[in-house]
Amino acid sequence: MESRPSDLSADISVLVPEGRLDARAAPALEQELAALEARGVTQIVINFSRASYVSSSSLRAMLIHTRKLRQASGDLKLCALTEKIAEVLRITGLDTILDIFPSENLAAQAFLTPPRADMAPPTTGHGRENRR
Amino acid sequence: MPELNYKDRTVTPKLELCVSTKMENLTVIGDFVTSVAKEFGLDNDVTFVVQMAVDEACANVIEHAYCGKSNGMVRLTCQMLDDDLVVTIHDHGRAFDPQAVPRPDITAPLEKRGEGALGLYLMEKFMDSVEFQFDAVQGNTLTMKKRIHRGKQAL
Repeated sequence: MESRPSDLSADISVLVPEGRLDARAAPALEQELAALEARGVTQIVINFSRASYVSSSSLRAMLIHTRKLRQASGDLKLCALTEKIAEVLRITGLDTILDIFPSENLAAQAFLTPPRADMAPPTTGHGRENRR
Repeated sequence: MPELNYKDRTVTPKLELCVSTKMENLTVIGDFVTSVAKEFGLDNDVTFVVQMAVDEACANVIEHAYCGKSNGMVRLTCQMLDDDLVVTIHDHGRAFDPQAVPRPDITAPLEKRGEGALGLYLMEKFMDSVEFQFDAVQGNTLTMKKRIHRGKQAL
């Protein structure tokens, strides 16, 4: 699985899983997230532009690591979801607890400019309304 | 795919796949569902949800019924019975009580969100019916049905 620094900041790591993120592929995602955390990375973006499918095992990995990263004052942000993957996140209610962005740049940008407390929550359904 | 008229019911032949319980075979199973969907003229949305339900069910068989061991077998059948796509998944692994599995609370905040049973939850959400039968001799059979609205279907 490709892992590279974000174009905007070397402190942000971007994972780009490819194809079907089924139960067979989930351990690789889990290992990659754990490896980044072990290196002290707390700001991670998963870019889904090359993924066609996401299984419950991958959703589980994302939940567990989002929790860990937020405890370390970081976060896991998702971007470039296909319509079908976005639907799976909606059905499982993960769209309300994970931060989801249309593009990698916007996801990385969100790490650099955290939302101000006095800002109105976004209405685009990107799932930041009920965060924390 | 030829349709047969059997006692006033429109049925297709049953398409079957039998593979060992290796995680790698989830890809084979996914490809099989794609072929079946094409044969039955199912649209992309239905194909996706059926694939997802079958993938989750088979992953559960491998992970839980066979505890990750690859020496078991899983048999998958697909058939159109009137307007229903009927999928069965059969194995001889460990049985479980689906009622005893707590479904996830999808409204819980992150700190309180459990990670279990998301697969079972997705199967139940995506399919119109999900029924488990366990038999010590005959083995375990999961039957899932999806109502196909044929207005726009090619079949």
